[in-house]
Formats: sequence, structure tokens, C-alpha cells
Amino acid sequence: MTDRLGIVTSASLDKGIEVRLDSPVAVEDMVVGRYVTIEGQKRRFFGMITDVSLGVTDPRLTITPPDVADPFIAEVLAGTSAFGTIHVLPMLTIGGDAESLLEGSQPVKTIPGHFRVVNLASEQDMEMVFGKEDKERFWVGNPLDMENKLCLNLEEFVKRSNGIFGKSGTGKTFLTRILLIGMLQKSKAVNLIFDMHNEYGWEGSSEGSTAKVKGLKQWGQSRVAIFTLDIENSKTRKVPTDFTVQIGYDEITPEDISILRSTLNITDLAVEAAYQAHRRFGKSWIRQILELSDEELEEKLKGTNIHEGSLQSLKRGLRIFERLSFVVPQAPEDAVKHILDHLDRGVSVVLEFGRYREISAYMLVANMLSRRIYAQYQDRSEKARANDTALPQPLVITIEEAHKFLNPEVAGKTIFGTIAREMRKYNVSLLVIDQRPSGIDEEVMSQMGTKITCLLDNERDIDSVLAGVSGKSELKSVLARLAPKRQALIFGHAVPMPVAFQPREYGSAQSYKDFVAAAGSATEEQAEKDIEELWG
Amino acid sequence: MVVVGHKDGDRLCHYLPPNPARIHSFVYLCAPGEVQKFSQSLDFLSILVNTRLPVPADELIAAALRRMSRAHEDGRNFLVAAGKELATLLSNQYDTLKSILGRLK
Repeated sequence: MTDRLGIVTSASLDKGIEVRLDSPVAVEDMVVGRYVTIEGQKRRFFGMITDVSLGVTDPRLTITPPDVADPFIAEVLAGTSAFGTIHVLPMLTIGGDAESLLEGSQPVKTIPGHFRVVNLASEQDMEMVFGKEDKERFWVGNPLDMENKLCLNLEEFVKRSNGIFGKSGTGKTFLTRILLIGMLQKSKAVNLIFDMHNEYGWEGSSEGSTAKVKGLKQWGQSRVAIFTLDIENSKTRKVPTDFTVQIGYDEITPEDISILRSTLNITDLAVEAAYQAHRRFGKSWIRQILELSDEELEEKLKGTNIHEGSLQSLKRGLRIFERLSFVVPQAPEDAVKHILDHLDRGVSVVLEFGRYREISAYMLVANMLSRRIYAQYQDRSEKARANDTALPQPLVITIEEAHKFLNPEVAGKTIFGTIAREMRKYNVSLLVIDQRPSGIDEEVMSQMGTKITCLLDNERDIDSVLAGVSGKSELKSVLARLAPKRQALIFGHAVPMPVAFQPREYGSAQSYKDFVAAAGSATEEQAEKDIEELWG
Repeated sequence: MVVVGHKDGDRLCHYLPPNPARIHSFVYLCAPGEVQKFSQSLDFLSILVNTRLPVPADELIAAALRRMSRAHEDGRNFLVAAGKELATLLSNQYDTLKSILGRLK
């Protein structure tokens, strides 16, 4: 059955299409955000309703309204003298012939002719545009007010760095968790998650209730390892951990201090002093600065032009490591090696921060570990290219509070700025979670493949998320109208067009069953394929 | 009398014949079946709307439609369809439309 809505009366690629509604169609059924198809002569257009309005053929009708108490008159006038119109933003074209059907939908480059018929999008159309849950595609949610599933091709998704944005309390963490489970189930990528609030590893909390929701480890015991910085805290929370990360003073470089400059509240000169001290003392520089008395230090640093004040400022800043008990003079084991070992085996790593929720600890650890892991990946990828062997497994690094790492001041210095920019060259990409996207360097934002944003109400944040997207003003109004919880807008590389959607449910017994079913079908299909390949 | 259509062989036409009716032809009342068949299409309304008549057109149109509706099983549906056609024809003569519709009840 086709749900005919009306006909095209005027159109412009830039401003959208005006559609006059047929008389039996109720204006109130036309909701902004619904999807429609337009039957053009050669192709079909797929678009979204962005405005609904009322029109009359004769302005006198509005000045002396007819007697609508009479049902006969109301029925005659509805759809003729007084009618509804909708404004449709064309988004995609679906080719009419078999070849273009295979290619799938294409961005819209033309408009339908006059008086072409407009229908509500059918199930098949929606499936064609938003995908169907299968072994590559993962169901993330449903387009608003719709039964259809919005499915992401996660293989494509992880090829680029992506961002999840939204005000605090809008459901970023839930959305991220859903995506991470999806990656675990349906992509070849391994994840390294810097879990500031201990939400992703074993179990997470859900806002407004005491119920706990399952973390990643509970989905794939053998494919997820939980590392912790705070073993005491993990034990209290009864989290089974695989490794306790400790960082030696000798592993920290002046670059790490330089990105912490503003959080440690030290001066530029103090950062400069750190570089000089590093040159003089080598790897033991932090130890020497913290352990030697002022006189001894002065003696040893003679000949450098470190100012007394800068040194004191640096020393004060470095005292933070005495508070962070995971930073020890000498680490018993190499954390990076352990993480890499796990990643190489296809095991994703969640690093819990326990009680160390301060941003300086997070930035220090995330940046330091990522830098060394990235260096390894870079090295391996280059070797693999030179020897024509397989590239290392794709790695997705998840970071929270991203504006602290990726703000214009430090984006150039942190490894995350490099990863976001150099993208996929070395098979490492980022999943950035943040609540202040305006704080993130423009250049980094522009390199993100797919952006998912929950409600944002700060003008600058909205602008920075939507920068460079076509149809920005329409999307802006969609974004501003999202519900404060469990609604999001996705656009970019992984979806054919921007879609406002409701993330799938997570936390109830039924929702867990759905995840298991999805994973089950994927492995079953894989098994079938393997059998087929084996026996020809 | 206003001519609103003619029959060409078996075909009913809702527009004027090429020649006027011959003088001294006999005039008959249409049977209800013929009325019903003729009013399947509402194209004849444009002739009524656009003809200069010695009587008020709105009265005539309303009376004609009321009478035609009796030949239909669902008279109201016919009137609604006719009303919609009129609304299109009289899209810039709201007052005429309003008075005809008022007389159709």
C-alpha cells in the first residue's frame, strides 16, 4: 500500500520542496521529521518533512471564515479552498534501474518535476536507506517516531575518528556503551577505553535508579580485559580485573607535563624547565627533582638557565604524582606492553580510573599510554606496508572529556590531535566523548567521520558540531528540539543522511536478549560461511 | 434553458455540442438513470459557473445539484464531490462559493 500524501507544487534544490496535501490527508498527521518519497520521472527522491503549514486559495477565507460548524461545508473546503502544505527537504535519490538499486542511495543533486506524487516512505524504502540488521550492520536505535531500525555499518564507522556529543545527562554514556558492544560484536576493531567514571568495564550505573547495567566484560569475557589504576577501588566494587596499571616516574616525559600545563597550573617557563631538566638528568628527571633538596638541585642544574621560580613552579606541579598512588618511582611491569599484548590477541582493554577521577590523572595516563601504543602501531603498520604483510588490527581509542585534550591550545601537542588528523593511516582511530564540543580544535572536529550528538543548547556547541554540514539550519532546529534524554542526531560518514533517532533500549532483560540474538545470528552466519568456504 | 452537455453516439460529453439543438426538436425530461450517469463527471459545472443567466447562477447551480443528488444512492457524497469541484472553479470567488454551499444542504 502506498500512502499518498499529495503532489509537488514547487521545488528548489536549495530551499526544498513544497507539497500540497491531498484532501483526505490530515495535516495533523504530518509530523516534522517524518520521511517521504517522491516519485520522480527517472528516480525516486527520499526526503524529510521539515515544515508543515496551512494555505488558502482566497485570502477572504481567512478574513470571513466559513461556518465550520457545518460538517458539509468543512468537508467541502478541506483540501480545496483551504489546504495543508508540507515542506520537504530532499536528501537522497534512489535510482529506478537495477544498477542504481545495487549502488544504493545517492546524495540528492536534482529535484522532482511539477506535480509528482509524494508518498510516505514505505518499510522497504526505509530499510534501503537505514539498513537492516545483519552481520556487519548493528542496530543502534530507531529513527524518531518510527518502527524501523537504524543500523550502522560498524566496519565503516571505525575507519574514521568519530565523536559523541551532548550535554551532561543526555545519555552519552549509554549510547557509547551500546556502540562499544556493537563494535565488540560486529567489527574487527579492538577497543582501548579510558574509562574515567568506571562505567564501561564490568557494570555501569543508570541515572535515576540504583539498577546496574552490564558493562562490556559481561558481554565478552574472553574478548574484554579490565585494567585498573586503583585496585582497591575495583575490589570494593567487586570488579574482576585483569591487570593493575602502574606508571613509573621514568616513563613520564616533559611532553606529558606540557599538556598538563593548565590543569597543573604551572607556567610556560616551568614547562621549559622540565625540558631542560630532562636533558640534564635523562629518564630520572622527575625523581631527581622531587627527591633532591633545593640546594642539591641548584648545584646539579648549574649551567642551565632555569630560573629559581620556574623550578619551584615545576616542582609544585610535579608533587601531584605523590598524590596519585599509581605513579611509582619504578613500575614493576610495563603497562603498555600488557595492553598491546591484549590488543594483539583481539582483546579489548577497558582502563578504569577508580577514585582518580581528576582530569590531570586522566590526561596524563590517557595521553602517555596512547602515545606509546600509537608509536607501536605506526611502526608495525609501516613495517607491514614495506613487507606487504597484514596491517595490525584496527584500534579504536575511546576518550572522555575530549575538549581537555583536543582544545586548540594542546591539540597540537597531544597524541590525540595527531590520531584525529592522521586518521586511518596507521589503523588507529578515536571515539571522542564530550560535552563541550566548542572547546575542541576546529581542525580536529572537521576530520571526524561520524558525529552523534544528543541535546546541546549552547549556541557555540551546536555551531561547532554542525560546522560544514549541508542543511545546517534545518538540522539546528532538529537538534534544538531533541528530548533531553535518549534522543540523538547522527550524521556523517556512516549514515547516508542525517537522522534523528532514539537509541535502542539498554538495561532491561529484553534489551539484553536482543543483543544476544544479534550477536548469535552474526556468529551463526559466520559459522555457515566458514563451513561453506571449507567444503566449497 | 442552458445546454450543459450532449451525447455523441454512446458517449456522454460534458461540453457543448458543435451545433445548437435544432429548432422545433422535442424536449424531454431526463430519466433518473441518465441524470446519474451524466453526473458521474462534474465537468459541466464550469459551463454553469461561466454562463450569463437571467437568474442568479448560485441559485440555479444549487438547485440543479440538489436535484441531481437525488438520483444518486449516496446523495451527500455526490454533493461533497460537487462542492469540491466548485471550490476549485470558484477559487477566487469565495462569496459565490459560500452562497452555493449554503444552499446545497
